[in-house]
Amino acid sequence: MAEAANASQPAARRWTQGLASAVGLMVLLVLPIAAGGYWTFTLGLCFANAIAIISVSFLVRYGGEVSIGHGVFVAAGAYTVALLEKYLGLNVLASLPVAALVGALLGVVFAFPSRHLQGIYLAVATMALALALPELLLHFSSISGGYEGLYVKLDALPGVPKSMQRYYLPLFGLVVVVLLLRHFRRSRQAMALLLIRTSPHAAESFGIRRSWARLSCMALSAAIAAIAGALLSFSSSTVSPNSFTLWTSIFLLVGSVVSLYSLSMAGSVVGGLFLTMVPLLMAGAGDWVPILYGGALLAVVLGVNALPAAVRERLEGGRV
Amino acid sequence: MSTAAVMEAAPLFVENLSLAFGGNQVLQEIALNVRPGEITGLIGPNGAGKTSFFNCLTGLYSAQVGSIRLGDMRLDRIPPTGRAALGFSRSFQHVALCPELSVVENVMIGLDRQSAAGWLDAFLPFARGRSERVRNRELALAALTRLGIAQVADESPTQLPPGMLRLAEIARAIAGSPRVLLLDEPAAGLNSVETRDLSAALMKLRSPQLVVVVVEHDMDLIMEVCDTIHVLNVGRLLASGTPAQIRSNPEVVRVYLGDEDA
Repeated sequence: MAEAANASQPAARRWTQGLASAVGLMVLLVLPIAAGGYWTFTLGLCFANAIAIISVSFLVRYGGEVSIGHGVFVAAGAYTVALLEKYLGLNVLASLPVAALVGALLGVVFAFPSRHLQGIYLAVATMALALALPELLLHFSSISGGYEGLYVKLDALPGVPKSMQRYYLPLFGLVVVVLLLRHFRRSRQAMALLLIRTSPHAAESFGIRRSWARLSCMALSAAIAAIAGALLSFSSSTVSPNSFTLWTSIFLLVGSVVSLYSLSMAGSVVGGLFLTMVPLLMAGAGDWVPILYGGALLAVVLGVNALPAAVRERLEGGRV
Repeated sequence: MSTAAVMEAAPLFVENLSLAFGGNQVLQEIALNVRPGEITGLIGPNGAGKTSFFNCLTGLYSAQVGSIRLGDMRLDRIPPTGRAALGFSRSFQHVALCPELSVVENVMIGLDRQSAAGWLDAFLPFARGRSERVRNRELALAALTRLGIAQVADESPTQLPPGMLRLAEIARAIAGSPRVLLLDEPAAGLNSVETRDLSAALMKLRSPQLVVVVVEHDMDLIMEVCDTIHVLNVGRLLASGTPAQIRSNPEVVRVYLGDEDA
């Protein structure tokens, strides 16, 4: 009797979670009808930021590493879209796969020389990337558009109002990324990455190489970040060096912490909302903004840690 | 059919193996053969060089002198990942299961080197990836069933006692039908009941296709499950023989069993 109850518990929980996800998604799908243009625009950015946060969380969960430089991979995606529009006249739907590929390549190019770095050393190496990026963009200003940056103006879905495109495209992108990652979790590659993160010697004895794990993890994470960048450039219509400073990378890490490194829709949207909304809500606070922002961050992190372990585990989405 | 299943059984030859760290000679001129179809035990007091010898077998250490061969193949320069491809498999002294994976998923990792599903299969629901995953799960469940712990297949390792974790690790090691199975102190941290279960499970592993080497401190377990036992002492091979021969060898009794009794 007790066993039957235990067996039905996960099924019941899955059903409840499935229902909650469906209701949540329905609310997001109809939200633009009720919400004004400002909210539609802001939430579009929030969804793109949620994907960028997932890219950081992916690296934490599958690679066990922290990045303070993911803004670079986001920028790679954003500039790929803007440059392909400027030079080849491609819209975001056509350039999105290219952006993901460029992100993945950049991830490999960064991961290869740093494949033996771990922990704080890797984090600092990623930070070096983030520090160098704005200068690089300004140096190649004839291509990158310099301070002013580049515009992303082409429609993704001709005939649909631009404001709706800016909302639904990032939302659709977020849903697809979450579904792909959910499928990925059951793959042999995901299991190998998780084992090598916790027991490198054990993984090696089953033929899984550390360098393969690092390169794969960084390439996938950077590709997701580049997808976020592509959608961010579309939703904000512009890319410029100001959008990709060291602070961008730091805030992505903050968003990832706030989302509890979640790879789920709900968790990443919470992180995306924190990243997008908190600065806007505090915009009137003047000099107090950094202090209030820090206070809000502390409140979230300490608040979550104060929750009972079972509740926290459920918020984190249980196992990856 | 898995690639390992078609690999031929081959004995493991250790010839004149010597290993030193700086000026510290850890292993000296070790020579022994390990035959498939047997369970071979490796014992010795603390500091005898068991772990160093074991690490030479797994490829973690490279001996300066001598060689290890699997059949006709020299293994000297082959790293752990390369030995896995040759059919080597091992368990660890400290349980090395991933807490974020279920038990059966941990065991499925033992089949990774025989799997062909690529990155597209990882992200998209193609039939090939799905059928391979189903097949790997069945093989993993078969390995868990063989060791008598199929009932915990979908549990998290964090919720299981040490005895079950050991068996799950051994299940992972045998899931891919290896040619050489190396078990590093499988009874470490187990109580007497768990050790008895482990002993029964180990005896089921004996197969004409498989070389099994067990490094262990628990003398009762070694005497019960092993066909041949090699005794190391201060880096040298002190004695080799059946459990009865080892038990009655006065040198072994003096350096090892005598210490145990004391």
